[in-house]
Amino acid sequence: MRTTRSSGAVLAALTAVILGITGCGGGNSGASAPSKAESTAAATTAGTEGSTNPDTSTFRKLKVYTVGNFPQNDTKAVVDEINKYLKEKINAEIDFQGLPWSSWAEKMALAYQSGEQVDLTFAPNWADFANNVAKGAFLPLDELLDKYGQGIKETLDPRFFDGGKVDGKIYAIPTNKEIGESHTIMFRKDLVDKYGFDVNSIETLEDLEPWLQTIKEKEPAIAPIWLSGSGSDTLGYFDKTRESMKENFRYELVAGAPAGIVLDTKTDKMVISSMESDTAIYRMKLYGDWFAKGYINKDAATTKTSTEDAFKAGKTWMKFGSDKPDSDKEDSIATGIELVKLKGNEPEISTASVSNSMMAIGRTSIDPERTMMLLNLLHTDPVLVNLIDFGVEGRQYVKVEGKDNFIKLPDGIATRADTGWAPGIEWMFGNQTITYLWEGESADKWEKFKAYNESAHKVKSFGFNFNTDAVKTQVSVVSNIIKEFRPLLETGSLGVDKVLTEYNNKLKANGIEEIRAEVQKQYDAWKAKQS
Amino acid sequence: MTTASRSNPYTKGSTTAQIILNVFFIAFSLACILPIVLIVAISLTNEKALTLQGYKFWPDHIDASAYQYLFKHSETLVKAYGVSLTVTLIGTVLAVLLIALYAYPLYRKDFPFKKTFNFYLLITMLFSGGLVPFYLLYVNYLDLKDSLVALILPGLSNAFYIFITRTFFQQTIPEEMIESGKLDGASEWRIFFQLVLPISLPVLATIGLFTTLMYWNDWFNSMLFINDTNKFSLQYVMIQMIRQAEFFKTQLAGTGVALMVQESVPTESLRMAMVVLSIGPILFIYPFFQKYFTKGLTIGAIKG
Repeated sequence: MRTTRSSGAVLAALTAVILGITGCGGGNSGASAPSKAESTAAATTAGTEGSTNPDTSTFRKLKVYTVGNFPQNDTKAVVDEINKYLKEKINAEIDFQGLPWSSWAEKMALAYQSGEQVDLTFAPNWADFANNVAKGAFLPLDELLDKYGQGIKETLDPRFFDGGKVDGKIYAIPTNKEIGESHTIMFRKDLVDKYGFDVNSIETLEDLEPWLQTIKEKEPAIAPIWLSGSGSDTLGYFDKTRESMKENFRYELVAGAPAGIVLDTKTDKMVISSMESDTAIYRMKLYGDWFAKGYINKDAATTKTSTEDAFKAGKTWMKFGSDKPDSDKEDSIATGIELVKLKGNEPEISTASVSNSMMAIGRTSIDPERTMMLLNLLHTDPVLVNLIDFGVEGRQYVKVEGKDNFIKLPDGIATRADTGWAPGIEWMFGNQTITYLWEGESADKWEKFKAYNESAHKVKSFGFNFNTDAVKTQVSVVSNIIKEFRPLLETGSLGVDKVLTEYNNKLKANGIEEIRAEVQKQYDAWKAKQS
Repeated sequence: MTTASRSNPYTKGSTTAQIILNVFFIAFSLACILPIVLIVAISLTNEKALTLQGYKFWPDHIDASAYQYLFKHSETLVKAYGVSLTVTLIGTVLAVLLIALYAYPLYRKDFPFKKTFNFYLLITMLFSGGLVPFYLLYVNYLDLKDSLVALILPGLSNAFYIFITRTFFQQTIPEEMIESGKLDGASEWRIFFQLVLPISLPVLATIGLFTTLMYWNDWFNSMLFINDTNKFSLQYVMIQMIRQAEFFKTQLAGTGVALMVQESVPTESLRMAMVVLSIGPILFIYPFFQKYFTKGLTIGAIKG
């Protein structure tokens, strides 16, 4: 028997050949391999010391990552236009990576970990921001900002900068938009007019009752209020009950802690809202009362149909929304149904609200200085921001006659989605207050924004973020309990007292007190540090 | 070893057992078929009716607007079909060939490195480098971003299937056959391709079916490596549609951002129409492979 010693080699060779063939067959559209990142230290200290004339002699291609309704059909044309403009301005082009919502989080995690080139990236607080900073995914920006980000410093409300700070260093620059959050309920204008309602007469949730009664009697086909407990629709968005108005922002949500724990700003103690906050208990009872009266859809606790969908399908006449200036107009344009909104609370600036849309510079950036210049342009240059937000003039929009910064869709095009560029990223890039307005929006929208931002007040725990590590297990159990009970509590579907008792007992049995103690401990330590 | 029982359920066993078995399998079959029927029904329902009345097995009005929409935007779909078919065909053929080529020497008693190659295979089954090294290898070292090769390469070999194939060879191919082939002056290649493979059709068909399904259903590799819309596979287009809606419901709920994102979530009926279109071809593959499935496929005792 001749042993064929070579067969192993033959196999290996054959395998190599096959892999070789397939490897060559791959149509590589000129994607260059990511360059090795320069070391962080070099990147931050390099550049022109103190000089105000930045060096842009070398051409750069910057990779910009963002998320939105991608892919868009006309991306290439828009990006080409952007690049033409940028080439003139800062001798750079962008390699625009617009990722769809469904895969963005995973793709970014890989991009950060694998050391791919990431120059500018969307890095909001709700997408693992703190964790990414801890892992060193982003560069500290303080020096770069001083050198190349003067425009940002001049235009951005200084309160924003806290949003991107970790341990006193800036790691991300927030988008210039509404600084605080407040919510409202919007109603169909045709019905509001039909019954002669006046939105200005509504100060509190209770004031709505006559409206709801009317709708229930005269419009049997629609729900006066549509809630879907399994989603995130809740009347708590419009947190203006008589009780809460009396207390005047007494209770605040705590960033990072389970929703059941709130800060009582009067005493500086953490309280469990369903046991100790009269406001919260009163509100739940009000829901129960309304449910019993038939103002809320019967299947509120179980339905999978969100308020938004029910609204579009004509099952209800209301929807929830943000109370930022002109939000009713924006939503009217988006839904195609004319809306009016109630006056919401004055906006609250929280850790989340100043950091829910930020841009960071990756550790692997090939040229952090140039990226900062790009970011600076995004905050100061209307041409660039409008290109990114709305696309190319004449292709995606046309100017409204005689009004320079008003735009409308080109003739014969029904929606923005049909233009080939509608990623919905206006709130992510640079400075929203220098962008065009759609026909029908108020001319003074951005002035209103300014006033809105000025009226915003900081929450007391601004900047505090609860770290769950010490009570991880309890937090995960409690979060699940909250998830399970929320539909019942927020919709008033079952006897409120009974559900509340059961809920509170469950919370107690599963370590809510331990979580409270931990939050309190961390909060006190954090407060001691604040001068 | 297989012990195929020769008892025919139609002639043996009590009537009670008969009834129980039959009822059970009818119920089981229904549980498999009904979801698919429901998906087809939803894809033919008007979106508004879905919101108002929920799911129904028989829609009141047949509304094909979801399909019309998909055919209107058929460019994406046709491309995605092309990608899926290409990857599946090339991938399956290569994978079956490679697996058979690896398994065959492991079966040959006179192959000196058997132990080494067996052990190497076992190691790959027990340990994996994890996602990041895998990603790095493909993107940085092989530079396969946006290339269809990145979709084919990961599935080309599978240790488990190699073991199955090797065991099949051991059980069905007599050594004497190889010997007689040699006596007649056939080369190793000829023995492999003209003697061994033709008798091994059942196992090749089985492995072929598994890999076909794997390639056809794979969206994860597309997510990792493909950014070019022209190279999206069918499954990836579909998973994006479906996950988009879930993402808005779960990830963004309660961040305050949800209100800023102007959702363009595809409607329920559109998503289901997409599902219907993408399971179509793979349903026809099954009957084709059916005849090769035999009872004799086991891994058996793994001998070094």
